[in-house]
Amino acid sequence: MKPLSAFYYIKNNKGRAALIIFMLFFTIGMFIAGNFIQSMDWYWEEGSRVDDKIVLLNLLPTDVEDRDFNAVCEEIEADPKLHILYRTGLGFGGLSWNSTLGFEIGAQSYVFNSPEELKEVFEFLGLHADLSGIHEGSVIVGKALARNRKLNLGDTVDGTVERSLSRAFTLDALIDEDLYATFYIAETGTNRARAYVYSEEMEGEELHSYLAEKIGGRKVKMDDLLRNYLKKEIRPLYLVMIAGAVLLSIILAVTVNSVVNGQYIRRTYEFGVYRALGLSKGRIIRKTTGELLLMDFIAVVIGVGVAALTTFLLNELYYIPEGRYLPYFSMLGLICFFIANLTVMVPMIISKGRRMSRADVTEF
Amino acid sequence: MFEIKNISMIYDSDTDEKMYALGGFDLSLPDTGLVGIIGPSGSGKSTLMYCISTLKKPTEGSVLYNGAEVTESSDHEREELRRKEFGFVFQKHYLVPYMTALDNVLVAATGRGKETEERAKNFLKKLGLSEREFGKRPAKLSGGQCQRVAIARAMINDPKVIFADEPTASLDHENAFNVMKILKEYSKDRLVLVVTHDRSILSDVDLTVEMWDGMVSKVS
Repeated sequence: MKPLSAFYYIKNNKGRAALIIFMLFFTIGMFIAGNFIQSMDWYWEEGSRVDDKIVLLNLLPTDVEDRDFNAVCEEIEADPKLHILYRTGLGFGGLSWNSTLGFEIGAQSYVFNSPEELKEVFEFLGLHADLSGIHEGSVIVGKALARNRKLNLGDTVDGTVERSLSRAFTLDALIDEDLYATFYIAETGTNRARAYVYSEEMEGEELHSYLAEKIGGRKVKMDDLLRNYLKKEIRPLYLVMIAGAVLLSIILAVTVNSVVNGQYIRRTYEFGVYRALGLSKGRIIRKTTGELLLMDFIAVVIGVGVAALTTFLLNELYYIPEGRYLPYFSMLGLICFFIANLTVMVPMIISKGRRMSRADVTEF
Repeated sequence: MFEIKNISMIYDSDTDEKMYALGGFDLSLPDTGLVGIIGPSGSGKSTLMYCISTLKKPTEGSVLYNGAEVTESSDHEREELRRKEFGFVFQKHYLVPYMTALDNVLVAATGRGKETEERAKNFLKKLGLSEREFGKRPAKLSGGQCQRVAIARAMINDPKVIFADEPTASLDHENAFNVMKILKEYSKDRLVLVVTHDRSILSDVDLTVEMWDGMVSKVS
């Protein structure tokens, strides 16, 4: 091993290197923090998939004698590409859940007039559940959501469980998929105020555009895509998180730099000797950069392992039994990690390289 | 080998209270031999050595090495000179504490590979270190052994000039005598400049440059 190599320095200064590695390791903490925030996406993922396939149309109060609504529904019925299921204006909110971040989030809900309608939609959506015992007054949720709300099959779900519920339901089936949405069967009457529309040929933006074209300027309200709504609602939270990452990174950078500074000040004469021996400024900068990058690399490798193990343990021992989940990876976590790591490393590499390349043995 | 012309070094040259470390003088140094630069603390002897060895740039004047002006040469040229033609021994040996004795020598080597390693080992052996001591760090070596490692580091590239700044200052009499013996031996076909305030170690020098208050007071 060459005496000027970064490996040599770290191998022979394990204690000092370990301290810097330990401090750099905290930049991985920002990765986990990002994963925590973006865990929200995981909860909504399956719900968004369902929402992509079913569009809710609403009657508007300004629609005189429901003419526009009825006309649009008739056109949809006549369209071989589309299916339509009607429901009354009476709705029931979805069961809220406790997120990984600790606060409660409300969920989407679907209300069907009969078990047959619900079974038809489940088959279309590809959801798996034992629906043999469902009837009027049944509520069906995902297994994870049931765990999250500590509900078991046969439990009564009413206003004491979810404040917004105006009647009681019984939990009669559980969905295998990690779907945080609530399905009710409630015969609320025959008047048509809302309608679910779905298609075997289209989904998402394509289905929405197709229906929007069909509705044209008529007084019928079509719900926005859940994905678009979430983007609008959650993006500001992500920006706050990124701003927080920058702030924490600056604090971390100052802390790490002060420790690293102390170590390099003690080594100033060493670099002064290298300069006297004829090593160029560039070679000194490459040496300090190599040392810091290698320590950073070790910190990241260990950090990724520790982050994965921590996430695994948190999920297996705490979150999954509670119907919650912490993702192992997220784009936001990656962005937060890069912000933290670059904020710490770039100024450190530049300042240490410049300082040590100016070390002068004649000044000791 | 060295032609020093009208050399002066002023610290705080921008302020009114100018401090002359070197007051402007000429000096010629031979191609070979042991040259002692002696003077009391603050006389400018170390500053003169730093200027000759390109570690410092004089405020005025010039230093010619083998006829070439080195004071105006580029950083890269001066680095090359220090790496290939000069060797340094410092007062406190300045070995890298986390490197072994052998690696402290190899760190200065311009060559690579087994051959250079063997060469470094031979130097250390010649200077009285046993193989067992090659793998020891400076903290595990005595002051005399450390200084010998520093001398081996200075000699590894077979430099034409060795600059030694108070090389015996932290050594006992016996070790000081041994170090001077090694340097004397090397100076047979090379130039060795020794800066010291201790006249007793200069009994064997070929040329003595005495300094006083930033000026050369006597060359003998």
